[in-house]
Amino acid sequence: MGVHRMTIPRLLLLRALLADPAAERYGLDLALQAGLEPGSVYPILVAFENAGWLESRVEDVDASAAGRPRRRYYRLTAEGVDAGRTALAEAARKRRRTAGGELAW
Amino acid sequence: MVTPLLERVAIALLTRMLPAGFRERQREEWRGDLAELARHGRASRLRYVAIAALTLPSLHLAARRAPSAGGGWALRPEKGSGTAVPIALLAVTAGMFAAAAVGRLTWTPPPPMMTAAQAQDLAVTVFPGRAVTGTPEAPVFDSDVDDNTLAGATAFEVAAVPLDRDFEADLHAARDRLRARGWTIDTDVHDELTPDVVGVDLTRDSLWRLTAHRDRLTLDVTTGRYHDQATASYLVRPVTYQHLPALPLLAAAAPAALAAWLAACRLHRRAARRRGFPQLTAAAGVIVCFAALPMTGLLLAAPHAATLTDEPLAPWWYTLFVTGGDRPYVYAALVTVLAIWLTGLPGPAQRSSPAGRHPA
Repeated sequence: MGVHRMTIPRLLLLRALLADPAAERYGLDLALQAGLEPGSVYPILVAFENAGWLESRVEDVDASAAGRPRRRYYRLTAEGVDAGRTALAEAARKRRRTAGGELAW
Repeated sequence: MVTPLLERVAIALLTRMLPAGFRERQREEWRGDLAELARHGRASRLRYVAIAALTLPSLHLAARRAPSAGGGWALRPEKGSGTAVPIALLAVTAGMFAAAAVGRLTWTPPPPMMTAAQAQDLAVTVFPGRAVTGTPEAPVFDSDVDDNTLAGATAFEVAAVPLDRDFEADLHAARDRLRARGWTIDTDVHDELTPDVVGVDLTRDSLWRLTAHRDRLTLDVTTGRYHDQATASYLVRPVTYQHLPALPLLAAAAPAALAAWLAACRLHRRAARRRGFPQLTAAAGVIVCFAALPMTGLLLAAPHAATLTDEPLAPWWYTLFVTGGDRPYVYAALVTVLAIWLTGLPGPAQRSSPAGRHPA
């Protein structure tokens, strides 16, 4: 599959993830940081995870004690970091070539 | 953490539309987000649910590819697994099985071709003054010398034919009587034996034959001697043989083949994700889907199907017979191979690494 499937929401999410590749973030947090609609990020997260770009784990807390459902945390894999940076660079290169400017999300 | 009723119902409906193995995970994601959005007001939460509903199709597609999904219907086997051919074979077999089962259920045996009185009249016309035996009330499924089935034929035979009869004269006389009774002669009297027939002695042997038709019946009369045996017999069968209607067979075969394809793809994907007991479960599922269920269904339907005249097989064996003709082991072998193949699928650890993959 090529870059043509690397949509703007996917690139935005990648940029948010690459802001701190080692950090673990949950879905809503990522959506807010990426500037995406909350609730719209899960198809992207699952697709990235299927591709091996992300790994996820359920947080180890007592939901009753925390007063909220347990969160699922996502973190970029080494492969995801490389692939994400490549995708962003490719998108930026295309953007400069077609518009002669910076990425304007 | 208490989610309002409307949101709970919405989340329950949305998760219901996701693959089974993925539902619990996504339900927790949505519930967690909604709990955190509580302080943003009801409008934000409703907006969140609406966006989740809008993105549900793409989430479903992604979830179906997730290793933990375990649900949904796969339209094809996994790429590169080399399983498309056996699954296609199985689908075709299932379609044939369904067509055979429907054919069995929709079969209506041909009506008796003649009454006992009509049969007696014909016997007097063809071979007068001789003892003729036959089964006019029960058409038999006979085979000719080339093993072709002569379905619905009624055979009559003269007992104890003397070797010294003038067989040609007998048949010429029979032809004239048949014409007088309104029969149309299709093939006039002729000798079927030729010098190339193995062991024939044309100075002694002969096999005279004629064919005729009247109304909806055809008549095939033969008499003669070969070596030291003399025969005189005739077959009666309908002019047009009753065929099974093709449309119900296709209507049964197509959805059965499609269902078998989907079921096999689903079993394959589920089994390929896990090793051990789940694969044995999948193999057992194959046996149930493709052997036990059809067999049970046919046995249950058998009392409602028309009786086959001269049915050669016991009902339980007939179940396999309808799938493979006189080679029922073909279907049994296919089911067995698929079941064994499922148990031998490689597990996740043995499959290719995700390196180089891209998000779909």
